[in-house]
Amino acid sequence: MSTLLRWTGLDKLISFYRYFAFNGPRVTTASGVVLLLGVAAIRLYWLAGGFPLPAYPAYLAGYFALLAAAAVLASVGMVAGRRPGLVWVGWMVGSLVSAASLAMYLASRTGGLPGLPQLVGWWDYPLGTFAMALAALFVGVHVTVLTGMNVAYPHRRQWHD
Amino acid sequence: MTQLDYPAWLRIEHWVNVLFVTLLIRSGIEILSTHPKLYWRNDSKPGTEWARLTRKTMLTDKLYDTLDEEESYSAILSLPGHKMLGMGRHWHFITVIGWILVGIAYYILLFATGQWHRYIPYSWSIFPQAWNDTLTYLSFKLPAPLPGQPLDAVQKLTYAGVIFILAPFLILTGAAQSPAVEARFPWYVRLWGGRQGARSLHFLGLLAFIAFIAVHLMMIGLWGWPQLTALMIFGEARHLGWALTASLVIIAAIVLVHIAATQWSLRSPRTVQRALGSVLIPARRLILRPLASAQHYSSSQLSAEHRVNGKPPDSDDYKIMAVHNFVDWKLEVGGLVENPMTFTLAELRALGEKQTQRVLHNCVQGWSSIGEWSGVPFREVVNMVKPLPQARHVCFLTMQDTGRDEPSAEGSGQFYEIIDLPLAYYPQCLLAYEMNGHPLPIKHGAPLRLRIENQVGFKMAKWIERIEFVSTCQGIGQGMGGWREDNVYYDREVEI
Repeated sequence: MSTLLRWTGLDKLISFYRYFAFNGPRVTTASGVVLLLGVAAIRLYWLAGGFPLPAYPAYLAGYFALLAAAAVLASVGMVAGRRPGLVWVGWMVGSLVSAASLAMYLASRTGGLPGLPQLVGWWDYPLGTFAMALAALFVGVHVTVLTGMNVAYPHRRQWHD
Repeated sequence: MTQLDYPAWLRIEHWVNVLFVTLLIRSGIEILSTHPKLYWRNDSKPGTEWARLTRKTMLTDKLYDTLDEEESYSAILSLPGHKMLGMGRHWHFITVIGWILVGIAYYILLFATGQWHRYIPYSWSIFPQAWNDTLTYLSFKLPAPLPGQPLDAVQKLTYAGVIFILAPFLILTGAAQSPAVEARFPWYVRLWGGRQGARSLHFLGLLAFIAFIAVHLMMIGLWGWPQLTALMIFGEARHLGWALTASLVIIAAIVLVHIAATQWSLRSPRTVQRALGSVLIPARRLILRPLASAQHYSSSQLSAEHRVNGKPPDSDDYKIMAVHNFVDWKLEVGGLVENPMTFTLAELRALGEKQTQRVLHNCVQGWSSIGEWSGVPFREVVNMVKPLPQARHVCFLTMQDTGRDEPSAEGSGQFYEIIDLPLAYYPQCLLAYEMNGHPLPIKHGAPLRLRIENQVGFKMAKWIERIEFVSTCQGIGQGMGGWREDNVYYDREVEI
């Protein structure tokens, strides 16, 4: 593995990455919550009549509702400071929600979704691009937490030197 | 109405800016490496930093100082890398001077030629237009430029932000980190949230500039690299091949300048110090030397833990004196003076009225703390010994032997610092024997240290044993005006 990292130059990238560490648990969690709630809000908007097509299958409505609910619940978990286990679950569910929303969006524009062939190749949809960006950013923030670059509430840096 | 095209001066300044901004970024990273931790509060308390850019952790069961925390960054990212703060500072400040002069010329030409409308909107409708353009970008399409203009609405607002807000922001937060500016105008540094606030904001400004450069290059690629390069070379989209070639030649030249600056600094730092110092020292004297300290922080603002740089003398003589509260320590004041004198600590304490000042200490590494220092104004001692007309500088010799006492420092020998004689008369230039109402602690320079508040901290010699008035720095150490100047290639005068 280390040989592979060296050949690809990834070891240098990882080494560079490890130089950065931030101590903003509340900012980190707030950023994650805002991103997730953005993901949820867009799905609720689509559910409430903002979807760019006049009609869509029931399964999609169920998916939007489930995704929005999961995103909101994940956000609540992320700020449940007294229960670190719940916080961890919140972040993981948030990443699952974000990854699922990204995957569904990409699938709808490439292979297509059942009953929605009109979505294939429809990339010029600003709200969709924005939703993808929110989801990708959330995953990015979570990765920084998992790899130690950032720390999320209620954890704190143990910089005692 | 002025045609918003690409006049020669604008094109030239663009490429000159590429050089200056890249030099500023690399030299700025070198400066950051010396204390790769960022804080929001003035006291830079260990453990309170909001960002670390280092993999070093200090042992908690062992004494360390800030010299131990320095990082050695690569010579590709930083100029010149390898823990050479002195070189980084010289390049940063000389480039700042150039960047500001070019910037002033750019502003003047923009407004004198009417080209300012390429950045400043004609009407408020630019904002709804920018929103529409944003939606277009989010549709993975490119919006049309504004009618008769070379930019779309988002680009226009972004360039206006960078030229009229971000660049001045970086200059102003940089100035807020100057000890002379902070000392003379404490309200100015408070404006930025304090010394560390200014430093952190300066770093965030750097990130914003890097983000701008990345997006700028991406946009050029998306909009048409050959055509846009030709606009910035010839002023019009013609001879695309030649334009690309010319741009590559310019970029190669810029890279060569970087390589040359790096290699020159690594191989011959003394010549860099002299060459760049020949411009920087007069510039500091002209602009910053007149700024005398007028700081009066309140007791509540004192740092609970004032940071320290440098380890005390590890000699038996010093330890014995310390055990006896320095009763047998003597300060010799001589050299080019009419009345050479010797003072004990008690005699110094008895000299006139004790002066107390609560001030912000700026270490050259970037950390700061607020402390209360009490002692005898140095001008009183100067007036007693009466310097001869040929005395131009004051040399402070200390009991610290750097090779013995400071394993993290580069170099060895007796630590000393030299200041210009006029600084001795500045209002908050003090020989301090007390700190925060108690006798000066050993780690902060007991029994006596210099305080000269419009200078960076390394000038404020600790553990003083002798003061000599001299006519020249030549012949003392390596002749550059101080131990740090000799060994780490700092400038002798450090109002910034």
